[in-house]
Amino acid sequence: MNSAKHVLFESWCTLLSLVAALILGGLVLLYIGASPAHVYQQLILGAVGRLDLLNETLAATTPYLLCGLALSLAFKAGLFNIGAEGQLFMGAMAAAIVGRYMTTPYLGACIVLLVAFGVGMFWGAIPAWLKIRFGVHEVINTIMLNAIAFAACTYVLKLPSIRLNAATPQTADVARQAQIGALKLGGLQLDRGLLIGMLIALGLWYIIRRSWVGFEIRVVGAQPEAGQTAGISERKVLFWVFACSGGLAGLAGGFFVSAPAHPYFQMGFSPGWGFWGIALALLARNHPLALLPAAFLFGMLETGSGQLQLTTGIPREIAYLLEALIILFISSRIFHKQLDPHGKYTHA
Amino acid sequence: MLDAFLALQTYSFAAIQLTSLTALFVVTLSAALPLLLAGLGGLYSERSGIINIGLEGMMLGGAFAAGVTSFWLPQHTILGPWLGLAAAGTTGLILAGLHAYVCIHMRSDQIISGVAINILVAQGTVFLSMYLFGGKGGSPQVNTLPEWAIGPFTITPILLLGVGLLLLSIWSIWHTPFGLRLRACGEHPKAAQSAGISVQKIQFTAVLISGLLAGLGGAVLLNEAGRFGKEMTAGRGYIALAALIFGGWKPIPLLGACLFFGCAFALKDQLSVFIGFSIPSELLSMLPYIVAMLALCGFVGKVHAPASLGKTEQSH
Repeated sequence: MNSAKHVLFESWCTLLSLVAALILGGLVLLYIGASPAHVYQQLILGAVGRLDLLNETLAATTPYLLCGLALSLAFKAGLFNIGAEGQLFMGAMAAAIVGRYMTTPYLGACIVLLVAFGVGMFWGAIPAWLKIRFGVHEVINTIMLNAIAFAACTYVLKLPSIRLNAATPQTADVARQAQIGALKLGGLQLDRGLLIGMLIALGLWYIIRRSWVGFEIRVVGAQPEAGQTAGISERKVLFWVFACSGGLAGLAGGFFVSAPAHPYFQMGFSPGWGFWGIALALLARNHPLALLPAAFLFGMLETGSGQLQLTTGIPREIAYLLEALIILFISSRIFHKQLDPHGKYTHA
Repeated sequence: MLDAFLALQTYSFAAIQLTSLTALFVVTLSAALPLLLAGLGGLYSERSGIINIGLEGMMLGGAFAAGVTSFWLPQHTILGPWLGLAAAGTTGLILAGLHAYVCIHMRSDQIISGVAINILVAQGTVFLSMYLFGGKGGSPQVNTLPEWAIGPFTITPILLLGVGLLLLSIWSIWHTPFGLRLRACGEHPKAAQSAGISVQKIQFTAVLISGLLAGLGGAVLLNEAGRFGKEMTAGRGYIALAALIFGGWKPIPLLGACLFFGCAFALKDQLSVFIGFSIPSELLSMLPYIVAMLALCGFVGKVHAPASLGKTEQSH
């Protein structure tokens, strides 16, 4: 099978899914009495129409990218990490608590990120261990662990030594030396988390495509029995992939709480990046590099919908509804079946 | 999900003062009922071999439909909540039809399809209720179904419905030709096909039934809360699935598991009253989830899953 043709076919189906989601979303907008063309125009202008908005969009892309990477890494090994949101919360909370004391420049920021990654890893390792030790499917366990993480974070935020006397319970600020600002290029501000996320995407692409570890991951995801015959330890691969997936989600939290704009942890900080990571991984077909434009699209919808609500009063949830429709069209593989009824391109 | 969790914290059974074990029993029962309905739905679907993670979304969609129907009809109609019940079932059916089409006809991944339905319903209901009701995406108080007091117990039509559906499920899955075919599809679809059973048709029916039941479960939830709230199912669809696994894909153990989780939900607000010293409510709110995880680890003994669960490709 021609690989270029395969990529082209997948891109074409993705594009059709996006258009279909926009059309259905447009019908919903018509139903509530808004002009779809106007709303979509405002969405785009609100995301990239001005330099400051573009900067905001770039910063908003980072957590989407890292969570998308977390999910697609897990999907590669055949794992459903629905628990990325919990791992994100645990990583962010731990990073914010530790970050308060990190007053050494550079080293402090590194420790904050390492803590976020490590705690996310730990939270991802729990369902991994339960899967390989007891054979429990990870989907239900990760959902339970999300709820437990939310409860744990709420509890920790109430502790007198952690809680700051603010309107909403939040941790103290991450030390100024450990905060990670954006890289300034003229008026453009490139979020450093985004840059590192892009490097991780490149690294993951290389590892999955070109290295022995990546081969093991793909074999476990596609044909675990064949892997066992070839001497690949399925348990080891599953455990470490799940842990690293959790680590990436935790890292997203670490970057968020070390940004100078909001250097603290509070409960409402995430619009559900961990869950949108599932949609992103689907959208990008688990390809680390395809995640870059996908995450940027979601970042655009995030910033654009905020502006839309400000200017037109249409609830920003329209963006999440659009994202949900995209994932629905892609997951149903309706365009794959319509355009390619014999599966010529899908099993490349 | 976070909103769901916070909703669970505030919308609980705090309104009912637990003073006796009878009261605990009543709260347990009302917490277990939506779980039981969704769990029975899951039973049909999974016994036929189709995983239905979308139960959560189908419940939420049902709750939303019931709320909107009650809200739209004139306030004085006693018919409102009943029509709401029907609307909830219909919404569950439609969502299940989508799941069935994607999983059985398109042979896409069952878990991804379920997750997609959950995300769609969670976001769609928030958007629509912000448009319909304004504010933060919740409805005002709506009419609820009547209650009949008999001694210390209140009998609701929903409770009767739940018991009736449980009995109907036991009968239809274990004592009818349809049930035999259903279980055959979940265990060995190829054998079922050789025996002349249309596997696709049986699975489609089973998934539709599961959506209907989950939608009704959502209506029950709405009836207890009295109003629709953002992501008000708060993961109950998933807990129902855990109860299904916990109960070994059998109706009577499923009932036991639902009562068990219902009791964990009821206790989370009131445990400190019983044991005499206070435990932070956040830690207690972890209880049902930790119990579910431990249960799934097989601390309750090994269970037997339908052999062909989740493997659509094999059935053709």
